[in-house]
Order: sequence, then structure tokens, then C-alpha cells
Amino acid sequence: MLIYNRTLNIKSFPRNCEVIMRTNTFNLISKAFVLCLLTASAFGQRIDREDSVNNDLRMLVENASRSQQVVWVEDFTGLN
Amino acid sequence: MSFALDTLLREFPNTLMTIEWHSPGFTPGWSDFDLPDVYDARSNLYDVGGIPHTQWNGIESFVGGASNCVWEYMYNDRRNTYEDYAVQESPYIIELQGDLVDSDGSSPVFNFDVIISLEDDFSSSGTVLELFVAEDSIMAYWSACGEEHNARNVGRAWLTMDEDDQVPITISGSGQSQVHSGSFDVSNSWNHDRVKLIALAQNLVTNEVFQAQTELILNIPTDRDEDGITNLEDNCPDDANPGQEDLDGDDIGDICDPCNGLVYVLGNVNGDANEGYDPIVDVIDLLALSDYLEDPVYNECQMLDLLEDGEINQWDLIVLADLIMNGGS
Repeated sequence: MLIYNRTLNIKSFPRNCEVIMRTNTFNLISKAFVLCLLTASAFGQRIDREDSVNNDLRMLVENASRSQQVVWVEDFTGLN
Repeated sequence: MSFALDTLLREFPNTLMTIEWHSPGFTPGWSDFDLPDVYDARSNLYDVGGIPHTQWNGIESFVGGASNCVWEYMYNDRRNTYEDYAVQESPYIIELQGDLVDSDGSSPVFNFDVIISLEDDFSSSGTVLELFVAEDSIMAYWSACGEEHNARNVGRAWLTMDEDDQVPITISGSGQSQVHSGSFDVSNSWNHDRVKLIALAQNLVTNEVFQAQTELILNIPTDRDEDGITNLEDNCPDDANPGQEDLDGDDIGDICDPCNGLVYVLGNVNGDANEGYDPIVDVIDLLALSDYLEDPVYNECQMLDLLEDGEINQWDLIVLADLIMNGGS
């Protein structure tokens, strides 16, 4: 039984390593792919960026919600 | 000037707020208006030389009074000033809450909370909350003209004058709020029906007053929606909900929660959740954020600035993608 287990472990060890390596490689590749895709998306629209910034600014101004400012007076005086 | 201000106050009771500080040199011996330390500190702030002197929103001063008791022309001039300032807007909202507690034999105590909120991003650097107590409509005799009139909002105390009592405003982002709690004794020599609490957001560098709020202490509500839960404890202070029902546990009661049943945390762009109201952050959120960048329409509950840099853009998309690939946590 002990020999069987050892044999099994020895045989499965390289396969486990391979699976882990493949998974890590896949994660790295997928991360790199998504990052490249998104970076390309971010910088590939440089022509529209000015319009986009202007639109964002306009929206910011339009969405800014401000209440009426009270008029405050301090009166330095005397009481007769 | 007092007559002109009185007329303006009756004309604009909700948008004009005032306080009178009485020069000790002109304070009659029989009165208790004499607050020399307070007068010196406030008058030094604005370089007040002689009286009458009015300071508008902390930044514009007028010196001099009406001659020959003809105050109407002062009213006309100052009304123009009022109208110039009245069109301005402020990012600050100040709300007052409180409760007058009677104590046996001695002066009652007014316990209060002042809530300052920002409706827009705004730097509060150098800005403090100033708190005054005033008594309105004290009959006074204007000897030079032989007339009596109501002295309006006569200063009784400056609660934040001492350095230890100063209250810096620390909020700077839209939607943020700050609460200050305090109390003061209400002298039995004052007319309690006419005592007011006044709160200002004032910048101590420029002296500019960005917002003010005042209310008679007897009118300051402790429970606006009258559901038995005080405002500060109430998860919907303006909507009666004595049961405080809150289905999604976000401390906003169901009756006033625009996002009820949805769980918005950073990364959970679409607000979905499992049965236990745990947020689900997955690829659908990536698509939702991408949609937002294409068409920036969102609801007030969504938290989209994953990078927390004050902007929502492609970099947030990258952070969210990384978050999802690492298990959404």
C-alpha cells in the first residue's frame, strides 16, 4: 500500500506541476491580454479625448447641485 | 442702519440673516448686552473702527449710519447689496437640530447638533463652523431720533470663540457631511421665545461666509417626521417610519432608500447581490462599467471610482478587471 502511494505520488507530481504552470501561464496571458485591450482602448481614442473631457466638464457643471447662499450681515452698532 | 436691516429682515426672512454686536462704549449700563471680549474679537476680524459698521458675507463692509434719522436711503443702498449676494450659490447646507432641556431652578440647557453637508466637491481648508446665540426683537430706544424699534438678533454668545472650542470643517467631497454636537445655557433673563442659534461656515483666511443657518431654539425640530425617532437616530428623518425597516441593511430605511434591495460597493457596478445581500462582483460589472464609460448615466448609489482618484475612466476598468480576475474581492 505504501509502495503504491509513493508510486502514485511520484507519477502524479510532474502532472500537477504542469497543471499549475499551465494555469499560471493562462492567468498571466489573460491578464496581459485584458490589460493590453483596455490600454489600447484607453489610448486609442486620443482624438476624441478633448471632446470627452469637455463633455465630462459640462456634465460636471450641469450636475453640480448647489443651494442658495444665505446673505449674512454682522452689524456692529450701539444700543441706546 | 438698524432700521434698514430690520426692514430687509422682514422682507427676506429666509435668505437674510443677521447678528448685532454692541459696542461696549455705547451699551447702556442697565442692559446685559455688554460682551467686550466677543465684540473685540469679532470687530478685530473685520478691522471695525467706528460704528455703525456692517459686514456682508464677511467680505464687504459699510461704515456709517443715516443722518438726520433718514434711514430709507440706506435701505435702498443695502437692498442692492443684498440682491447682489442673494443670487450666489453655496456647496454647503447647514441643518440645525436640538432640544431645550429644563432643569430645576437653574437656566435650561439647549442641546444641539449642527449638520454640515456638501452638495458639491469643495475645499474646506481654513473654513470653520462658527456658532452664535442671539436674542431677537429686543425693544430699544433710538434717542437721536426719539423712536423705539426692535433691535434684531442681538448677540448673546459666541460659542466657538475660544481656540479650544473651534470647529474646523473637514469635509470636502460631494455628499459628505459632518456633525457637531454642543450645548449652551439659556439665561433666564432672556426671552426664551426669541433665542436663536446661528451657525456659519466661514473661512478664517478670507473671512468669507459661505453659508449660514439660524432658527429660534423653540422651533428647531428634534424629530422632523414625528415618528418617535430623533433625527440623528432615524434612518429616514423626513419620512415617518417608526419601525425603521431596512431590508438591505444599508442604514437607509426602505421608505426613503432609492437603491433598496441593491448592494453597491466598490466593484459591484450593477448592485446585484445574493440572498444574503452579499455583493456579487463579476464580469457583468465589467460590462456595466464599460457601458458607463460609453454613456455616463448612473444612479446616485453606484460607486464607480475604483481607483478612488476622483475620476471615472478606463483606469477604473483596468482595476475592476484585475479585481475580478483575483476573485472579486
